[in-house]
Amino acid sequence: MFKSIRWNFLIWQTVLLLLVVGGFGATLFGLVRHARMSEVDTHLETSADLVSSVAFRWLRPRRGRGGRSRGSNRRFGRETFGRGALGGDRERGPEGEPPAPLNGPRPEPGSPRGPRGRLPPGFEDRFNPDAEGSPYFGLWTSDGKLLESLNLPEELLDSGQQNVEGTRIQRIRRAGREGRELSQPGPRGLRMVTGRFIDKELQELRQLAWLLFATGLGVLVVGFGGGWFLSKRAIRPIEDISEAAERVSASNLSERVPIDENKSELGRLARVLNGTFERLEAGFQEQRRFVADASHELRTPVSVILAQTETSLVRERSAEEYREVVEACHRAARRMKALVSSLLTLARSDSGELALERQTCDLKSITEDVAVMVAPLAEERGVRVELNLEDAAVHGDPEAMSQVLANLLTNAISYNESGGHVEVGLKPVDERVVLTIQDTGVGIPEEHRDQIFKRFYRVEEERTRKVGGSGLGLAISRQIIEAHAGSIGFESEVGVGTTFTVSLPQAHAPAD
Amino acid sequence: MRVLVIEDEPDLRRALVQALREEGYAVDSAEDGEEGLYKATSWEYDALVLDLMLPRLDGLSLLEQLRPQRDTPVLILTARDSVSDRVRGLDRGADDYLAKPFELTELLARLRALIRRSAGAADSRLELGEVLVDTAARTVSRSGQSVNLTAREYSLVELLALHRGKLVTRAQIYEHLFDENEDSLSNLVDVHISNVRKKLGKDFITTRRGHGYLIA
Repeated sequence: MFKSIRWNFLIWQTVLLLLVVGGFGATLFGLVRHARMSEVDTHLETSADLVSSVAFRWLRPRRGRGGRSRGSNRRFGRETFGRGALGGDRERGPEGEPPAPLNGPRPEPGSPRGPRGRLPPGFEDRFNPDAEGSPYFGLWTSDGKLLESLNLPEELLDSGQQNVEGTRIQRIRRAGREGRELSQPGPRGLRMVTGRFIDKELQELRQLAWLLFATGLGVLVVGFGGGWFLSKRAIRPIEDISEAAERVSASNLSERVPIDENKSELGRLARVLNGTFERLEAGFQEQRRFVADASHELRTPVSVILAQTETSLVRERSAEEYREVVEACHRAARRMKALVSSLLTLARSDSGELALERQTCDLKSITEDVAVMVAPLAEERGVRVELNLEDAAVHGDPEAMSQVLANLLTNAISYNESGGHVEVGLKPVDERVVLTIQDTGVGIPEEHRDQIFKRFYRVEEERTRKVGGSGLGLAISRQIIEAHAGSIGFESEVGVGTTFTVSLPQAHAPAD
Repeated sequence: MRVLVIEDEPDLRRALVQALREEGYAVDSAEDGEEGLYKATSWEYDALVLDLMLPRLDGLSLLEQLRPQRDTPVLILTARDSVSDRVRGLDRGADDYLAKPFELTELLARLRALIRRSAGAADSRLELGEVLVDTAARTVSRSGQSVNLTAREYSLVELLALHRGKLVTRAQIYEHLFDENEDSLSNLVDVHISNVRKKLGKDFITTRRGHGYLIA
C-alpha cells in the first residue's frame, strides 16, 4: 500500500492537514485560554485591591470578642457592616425578596440599624456568594491570625497563612474546585489572600476544546475524503494510459494511448509512448515483410523441386528425363543457396555483426577479376564490357568488395540489350576512390527510383531471375559500402542507360 | 479436358505441363500474362492454372480482363499466401487458390473438382446407365466390369459425360481433347468415338448428324 502514489499522497495530505489544523486549534485554544485566565487574574487583582482598600477596617479589635472570629466565615461583624452582612447572614425580605444590597437603598433616617460604614462600590457584587466564581478572601495578621474572611475555603481557614514573601498568583485547588488565588501583603503587615474559582471558565474552555477538536476532525475527514476522490480522478489518466499500453503487444501494435490535451504532463507521456509504439510497429512491420518476402522467395525454388520430382516419380523415366529433372532441381537449389546466404548477410549486417576484414584492397585487381567472372554472361547477352581502371586502394574486405562489384556489373549487363555496352571506371579523387559503372541499358523508370535499394525489389522480375538474382543485390551492396564508410548513388534515363557511382575512402599504402 | 498453365518459372511450368499431360489433359502453357490472356480468350479451356506474379501482365489483372469474356474455372497457384491475398484472388474471379509449394496430388484433385463443378456435376462418379465413370480415379466400368480406355478415349467419355444431355460439336470435342501443339486431323475424333462405342455400347453416344455428339 505504501508504494501507491495515491495512498502516499493521501497519507501525507492527512498528516499535513493534521499538523495545520492541530496547530491552528492548539494556538487558538492557547490564546483563548490565556485571554480568559488573564481576565480572571485581572479580576482577581481588582478584587484584591478592593479588599486591600477596606482591610484597615478590620484592624480594630472586635467588640466583645477577641481573637479570631469563629463560625461561619461568611459573617462579618455586624458591627462593621451592620445588618445583612455579606454572605449567609443576609436575610431575605419579609415577602421572601432577595436580601437588600449592602449598599442598598438609603437607610431611612431614623431606622433602627444603619450601615456603619460604606463599602466601596462593587464590593458586594464582587464578593457575593452568587457571584461568578464564588470569590473569597482572607486576611491574616503578620503572625498568622485570621482577621477577617469571606467565603474562605475550609482548608485555608485552619491552615493559617504562612509568612510568604511577595505577591503571587497561582492555580489552586480547594474543596475539589479549581481556582486562581492571589496572595499578597496587605496594609499594616497583613497577609491577604484573594481567590476565585474558575469552574465556569474551565468549562467554557473545555467546550471550546471539544469544538475545536470536533471541527478539526471534521476537516480531516473532509480533507481525506476530498483527497481520496480528487486523487482518484488525477490518477485515472495514468491508469488509462497503463491499460492502453498493456493492450499493446506484438500482435496488437496498432493500439495507441488516448491523449487528453488538458492534462499536459500526462499528454506528453502519452505522446512519447505513442511515438515509441509507432516505431515499434514500423520495426515489426518491416520485419514481418522481410520474413514474408524471404519465405516467398524460397517458395518458388521449393515448388520447382517438388513439382519436378513428384512428376518424375510417377512412373519410370528415361535417363534423359531424369537428368533434366536433376538439372532443374540443381538450379533451384542454387537459387536457394544464393538466397539463403544473401539473407544471412543482410541479417548479420542488420544486427551489426557483419564480419568484415580490414585489409588494404586493391580495387583495380578485384574489378578485373570480377569482369572475368561475368564475361560469359556478357557474351551470352551480347553486351560489351570495357574497363577503365586506375590504381586505387581501400580499407576493407576484399570478398565484400567483390560481391558489390559482381552485383553492379551483373545488373548493368542484364538490364541491357544485345549490342549494349558497359563501362567500368575506377579512379582516386582527392581522399576518395570513385567507381563508376555505366551502362547503355534500359534505364530505371521514375517510379522505381526510390525502391531499388529495397530488399527483394526487382525492377524486372524476369531479368533478375535469369541471372539467378533475388532482388537483394543492391540492398546488400549498399550495406557493404556503408559499412566501409562509403556511399552509393545512381543516375538513370529510361531508354538511354544508368550510371552507378560508388565512393569509398582511400587507403594509404602502409609505409613499409 | 484441356488446361492452360500460365507460369513464368520455366522449370516449374515444364513440370506442371508434363504432370498434367500424363494425367490425360491436353495442356497449353504461357509464360507471361499477356500470352496467357491471349490464349485463354482464344480457346475453350476446361480450367486455368494461373500464377499471380507474372511479367507483362500480372495474374490478378489477367483475371479481371478474362472474366467478362470467359467463365473458365481458374485455379490460382502462387507463393503469395496471406489471407488477404487469397480473398483478393477469389473475389476477383478465381475459383480456387493453392499456395506454393504444393503437392501435385492436391493440385490434380482440385483441378478435377473444378472441372466437375463447372459441368454441374457434384459427384465425382457419374452414372450413365450401365456405365459408371469415376472422374477421380479416371476409370470407366460397364455393368460393374472395368473397361480399358486409352487416355484420349477416357477424356472423350469424361467430356461427354460431364456435359450429359448437351450437344457437343465435333469442333468442341477437338478443342477439348487436343492442345495447340498437336497437329491432328479432325477425323481422329470420329475414330475415338467409334472406339468408345465399341467398348461401351453403340447407344452410349448419340450422333446428331451435322451437329455433334452427346450422351443422353
